[in-house]
Amino acid sequence: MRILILVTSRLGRYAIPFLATILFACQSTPPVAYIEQIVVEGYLFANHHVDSIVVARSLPVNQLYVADSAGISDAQVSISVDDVAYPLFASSQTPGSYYLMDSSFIVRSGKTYLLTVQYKDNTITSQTTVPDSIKITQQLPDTIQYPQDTINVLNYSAPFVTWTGVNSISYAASITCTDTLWYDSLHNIHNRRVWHLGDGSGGTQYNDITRWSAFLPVSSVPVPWTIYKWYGKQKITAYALDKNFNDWLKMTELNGGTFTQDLNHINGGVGVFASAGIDTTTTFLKMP
Amino acid sequence: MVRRGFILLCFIGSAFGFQTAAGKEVSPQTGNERTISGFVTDSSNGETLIGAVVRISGTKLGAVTNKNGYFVLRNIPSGKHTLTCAYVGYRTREIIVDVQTGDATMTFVLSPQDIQATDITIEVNKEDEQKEIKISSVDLSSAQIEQMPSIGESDLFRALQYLPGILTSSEISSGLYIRGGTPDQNLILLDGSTIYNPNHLFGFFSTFNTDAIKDVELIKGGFPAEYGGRLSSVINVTNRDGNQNNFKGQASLGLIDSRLTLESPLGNGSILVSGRRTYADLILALLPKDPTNPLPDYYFYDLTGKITQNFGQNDKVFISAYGGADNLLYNTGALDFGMNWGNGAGAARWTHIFSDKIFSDLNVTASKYNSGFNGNEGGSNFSVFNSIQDITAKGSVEYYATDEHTFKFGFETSRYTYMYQQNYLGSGDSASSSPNDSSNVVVTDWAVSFYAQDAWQITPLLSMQFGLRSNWTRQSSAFTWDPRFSLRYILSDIVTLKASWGIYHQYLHLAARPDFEFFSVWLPTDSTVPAEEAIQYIFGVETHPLDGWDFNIDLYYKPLINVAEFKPYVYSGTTVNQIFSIGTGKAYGAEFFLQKKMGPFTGWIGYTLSWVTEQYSDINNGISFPPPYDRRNDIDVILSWRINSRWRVGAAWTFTTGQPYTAATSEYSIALPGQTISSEYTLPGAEDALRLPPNHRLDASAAYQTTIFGLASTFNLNIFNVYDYREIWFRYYDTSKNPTQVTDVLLLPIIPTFSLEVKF
Repeated sequence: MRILILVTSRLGRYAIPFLATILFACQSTPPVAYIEQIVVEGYLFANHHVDSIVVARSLPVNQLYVADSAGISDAQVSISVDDVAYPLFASSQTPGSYYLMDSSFIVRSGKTYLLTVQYKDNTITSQTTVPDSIKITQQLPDTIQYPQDTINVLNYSAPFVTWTGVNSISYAASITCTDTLWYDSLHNIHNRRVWHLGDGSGGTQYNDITRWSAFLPVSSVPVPWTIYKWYGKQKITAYALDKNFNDWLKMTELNGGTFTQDLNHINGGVGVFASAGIDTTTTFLKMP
Repeated sequence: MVRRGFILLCFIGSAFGFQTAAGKEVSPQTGNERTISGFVTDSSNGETLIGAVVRISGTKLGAVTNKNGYFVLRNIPSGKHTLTCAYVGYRTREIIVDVQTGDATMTFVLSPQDIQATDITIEVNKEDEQKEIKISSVDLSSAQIEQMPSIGESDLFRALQYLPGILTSSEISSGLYIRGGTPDQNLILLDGSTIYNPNHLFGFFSTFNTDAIKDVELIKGGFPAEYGGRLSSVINVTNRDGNQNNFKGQASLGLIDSRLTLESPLGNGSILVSGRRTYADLILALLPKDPTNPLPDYYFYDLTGKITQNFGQNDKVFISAYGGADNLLYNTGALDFGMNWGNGAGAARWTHIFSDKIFSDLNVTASKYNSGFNGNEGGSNFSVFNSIQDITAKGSVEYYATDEHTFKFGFETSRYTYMYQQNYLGSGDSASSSPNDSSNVVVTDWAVSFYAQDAWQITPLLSMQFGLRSNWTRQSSAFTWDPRFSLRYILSDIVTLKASWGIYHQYLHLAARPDFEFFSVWLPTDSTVPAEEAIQYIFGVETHPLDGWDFNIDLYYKPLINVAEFKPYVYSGTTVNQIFSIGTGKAYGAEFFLQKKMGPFTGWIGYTLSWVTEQYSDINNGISFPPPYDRRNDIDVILSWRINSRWRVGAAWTFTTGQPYTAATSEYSIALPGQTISSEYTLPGAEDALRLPPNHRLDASAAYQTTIFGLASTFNLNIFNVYDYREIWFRYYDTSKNPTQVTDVLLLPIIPTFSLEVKF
């Protein structure tokens, strides 16, 4: 027997804002006492170098959040594989960011990597086993034209990106606008944002150049017109996720960011240390 | 298993043996005793009356009509007797009968009378006539439900919320938390069919149309062996049969919806059809549309029908059907989505009287709940469909063996079908399976139950009821045994003591967020989790201190074992234990209920002091915590005043301790790969360790009765939340602001609504 419960979580994406907007009002209330915890952030990708590992502390809810204040730069950080530990050094420019001293280090599929962070009396550990690498087999055309009828874009079917299936927990995909500068100065086009009905005026979702689509049951994903934020060059990345990555997305995307003991794979702290097999493709989105 | 089966057989065997022995010793037959049996009906429409008391004047002999309006009086000496039949809201009737030879069958026809009229002084204490021990039980008529203040229209579940021991997760929810039990732990029956999700309008209303309701029996705990499959309570709704004398109708026009009920004699019985529909979508459709500012379309409807036929004195058949659904459509051009959910249920019941001692019921029912959503986001289609369906056969035999023993035996077998389908591949416009997506499933299950129970009148003052229910389901491959035991002692004319103990099992689990009962997914128990279990201990004192007044106290203690808590972050699992946390719980409390039933001024005051805790190894570090429906104090005051023959006013005030919530202790920031802006997340403190402020609300109503074009009509005015105190729905941390803002989402302000009802 296989059972799936997707309804309530995906439903919440549409129904909660709908209900909240239509029926209810809000008011502010005071916050509560502060308890500090150590936060770790690190992603490993098959056949890629290790980017940074971030070590930070959580901050009080009722204070202005400043990333530099949260960063911890005096921790001992290392990544181990095959019983060999590779130390990381703290960045002098970005508090809390750590980089591998061995720049030739490549992450390999099937290997298990152990992250160890020693900070004061705290030892924080986490491990991830890297999924197989993947390859995109059906790409978007080099150039795609945004529909002329910008209000009724759903009348235009969405193209697909497909990749090789591997033995992973689930798949995800992201799309990043890699060029947010205007490109059509000849026609004096000032607004390169893709307008969508109901767009807000700000917020992370609106301003960030990358959007994610997670929990894909198969190794294929439609790229709907509403997912684009800017016209121009786009990078689409497909991910085959390990359990840590999948659980992190569950916690942040499905469970509204509510910390969940079951989904946290950082021993002695919180955050994410996860891996994936990835591949990327690009396209260029032309204005209507 | 074999040993347990042997025990069951011994139990049934001993029960029969006991009955025979008791019959010989306590009630020796002289050959001159007779039996009178029959029905009690309403003169205005021919409906049978449930819970009417039939007595033989000058004796202790009496009986109460069962769910079919049937009574049996045994061991009546030959000769002339005066039989009295009484029922609240009806004129008491006396009939002189002469039973010389043979047994008598008769029907009492009672005439309705306003229970609020001052000239009525008769009140019936049913305890000494009641064979079955009813503990923690409340009967509500549709008239009582309709008199309560409401929003838009009267609603059964909103009325039940005003009873002690019953809570909801919020004022916009109709999910009932009864004595610390969650909504899925309530067995909800409509003419015998199980209703899996009794919600309209996102839980704002229940699915039950009060115009069609005849009787509601709520058993808050300690329910007998004839009921099973749930841990907490039974809500047994019986729809009206329809008028057997004349064609009648009733129409209601309200701000939210309109209703129409038609009923008529048909053959040897009657037919009733009742429906309602909201019409905001129809009004919106007439308005000009702005493509840049689209509005959602929403409506719900339900339709109830019932045909009843009598085949002689001893056979009655009814066919009952219910269908209802909610639909929401929101089309923006870039995102279209629709949600729908609804119940369908049907029941066919054959009631047969084998003799004056043996009464049987055979019921075949089918019920289905389905929900789904589908849409198109930027040219990419998606759809999800989910349903639970059961086809059930159940039968019971009630055997009035002696004056001391009434036995009841029965069986119930159900075939369940659970279905889940999704399509997120971007193409297709239906909930067809996505290729290679193993999460699309159809699961079937069988459940079989048998039960036997005996209501034993040990002495005129002391009675006992014991029963045993056995359950089996195929998916779990497990048997469970539910012994049930109740005692009643009539301390005096005005005080009755009651106690109950029982074990209850539940094989169905509900995956739903608390405020999204309308979109729930039911799952069976499989081999990875045991059936949920509750042990209920109840002690009650029922008193009638004055004519027309009741004052009852109930104490309860309910340990919960293997209860399932849905993991809201799970989107897929191969077994039930991956979708639910399995843990334990405990609910205990005291309920106080003072009620005035008669006279122009009626109402009640209810107070509940209660505790609920839960404990799961994977939640809150394994430490027990109070769930959101743990409310220490709950006060309900209901008042209804019949000013004169035209005016009636009412008020309902409720106060509830604030719900527990989990506060954040700090926040952190993390970005996904490719993101340039981090997202902030909060870290929680102890689970549900803090409480929101208490909730309180006053609702008021006024009804004016008149005639319009010669038709009896009623204007209703309801004011919801009279003094505009906004309940907090939930508290959340808005991390999109820096610093993070702690925000309360408030519920509804003052809302007045009007409606007009016309009877023809």
